Amino acid sequence: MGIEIDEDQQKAGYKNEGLIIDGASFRDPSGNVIHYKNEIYRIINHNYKNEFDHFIKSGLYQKLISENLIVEYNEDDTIQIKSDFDNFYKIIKQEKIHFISYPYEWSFDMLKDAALTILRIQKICLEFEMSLKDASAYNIQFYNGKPILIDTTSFEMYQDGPWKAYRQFCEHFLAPLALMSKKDVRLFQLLLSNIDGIPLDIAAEIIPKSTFTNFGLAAHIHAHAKAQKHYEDKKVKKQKLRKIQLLGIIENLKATIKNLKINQETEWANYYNDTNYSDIAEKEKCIIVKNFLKKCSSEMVIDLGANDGRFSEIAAENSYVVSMDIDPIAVNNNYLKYNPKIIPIVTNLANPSPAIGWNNNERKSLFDRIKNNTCIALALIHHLRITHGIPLENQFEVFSKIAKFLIIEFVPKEDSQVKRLLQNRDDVFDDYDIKTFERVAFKNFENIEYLEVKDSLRKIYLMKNKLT
Amino acid sequence: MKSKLILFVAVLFIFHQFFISNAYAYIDPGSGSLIIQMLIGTLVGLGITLKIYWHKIRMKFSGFSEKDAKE
Repeated sequence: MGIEIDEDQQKAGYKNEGLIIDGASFRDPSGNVIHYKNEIYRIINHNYKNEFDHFIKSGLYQKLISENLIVEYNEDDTIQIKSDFDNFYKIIKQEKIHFISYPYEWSFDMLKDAALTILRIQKICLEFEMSLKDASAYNIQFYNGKPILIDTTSFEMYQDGPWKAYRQFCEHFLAPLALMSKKDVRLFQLLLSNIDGIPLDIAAEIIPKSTFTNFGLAAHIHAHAKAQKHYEDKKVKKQKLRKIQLLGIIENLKATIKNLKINQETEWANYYNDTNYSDIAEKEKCIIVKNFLKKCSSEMVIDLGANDGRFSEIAAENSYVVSMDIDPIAVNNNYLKYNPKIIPIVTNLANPSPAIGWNNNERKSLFDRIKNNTCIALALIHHLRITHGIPLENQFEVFSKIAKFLIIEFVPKEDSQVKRLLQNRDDVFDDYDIKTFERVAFKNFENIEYLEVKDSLRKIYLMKNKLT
Repeated sequence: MKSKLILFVAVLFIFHQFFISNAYAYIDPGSGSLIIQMLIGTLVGLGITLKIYWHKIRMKFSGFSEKDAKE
């Protein structure tokens, strides 16, 4: 056997200080993912030698690299890591992904493209007499604007038989896509409470009965759910399935997924067609944001309320950008621009993604993944204050936790957008004024500069966290 | 249409007669997922075969008609 991660070893630490085994890397006995000095390494165990060698020597790895379907690796620069382990086949260093996102943060087309990537990889694998042994959505990340496989130990030798990862594929991809397409786009949130994918019986219950007429959904969800229930706990003979049949299933899954579409209006989808900015104010705001961003020179920028990513695009001129918004359609529109430096994610800042999975350590919390960067909060805090009821003091408590630099817009109560938020409710937001804003902001942030946005009532501040 | 699903499940039961046995290889609770692939694989395989033959037939006839047209 290869690496054993026992508690004592974790407590004692490794020779290489700061080396840790990834919190989600314990299920697959083929290897482990290591984090060390801001780099990613993967241990390949002896029990995976034959598969890994075939993966490389058959040309499969090169083929996947040529189509940008898998992260690159190299074997140089791993000597130091090797001193901590003594029973492994290889240690490789993998290309690092700038920001790790999770399927419950992806928009419809992100999940759809990720699903099609898995199917494309599986089809290529079969050409090289291999097959994907798992089809976890967590094995896909977005890199340079496109989905990419990050697990180099996901391959096994192909044997004439069904696809072992078929169920996982349906639960991680097809079920949520069908729910979003056929019922409600917000149902992607079920992926958060179902870390192993959405059970097919639940999906079959929720999607409309009209989906029985869709061969792909009838077969891969409805009949599949029935078969799962029927064969539960039953022993079956090892089955043979001809490769042409397996390819047929993959093609059918691909066609089913390609035909799934969303067409739903949401609160924010047309936000930029519905703002109160004049052209002058709009241009002015872009210039201010651009200048402030230059002063931060940050490798990563977090756009906290990005909508369809208008200001993220400005930030992406010099940095990688995590472009967050609560609205799944706005995020989808942002993704469909395929900016290689922008990773759009759906998230509600008032209820950000928590740490989930075994030991609350398999999938990291959102704040764990975005901290210590430049954050931009444009046209955001009035929504947090009035719509979500979060006082400015509490807002800045969070900003000081995640932002090294903060570019933040203050929208006063006299602004027509704020008036609109208040039109049908009592104004109980006494703390929402510029004095309180500055008082709470400057507790933890140093005010570097602020500018008024011409032809509007708004101000944009550039601040630096005093604690970092 | 629910009738399509009923047909599916009916075929599933026929398949079931072939596959349930005193099995010596244990497959995990994903066994239903493996069995359904046999069924879908067969149907899709049949579809591909029909498509190929249909294409050949069409080509043959369109070939004839082209030939006729030339003559």
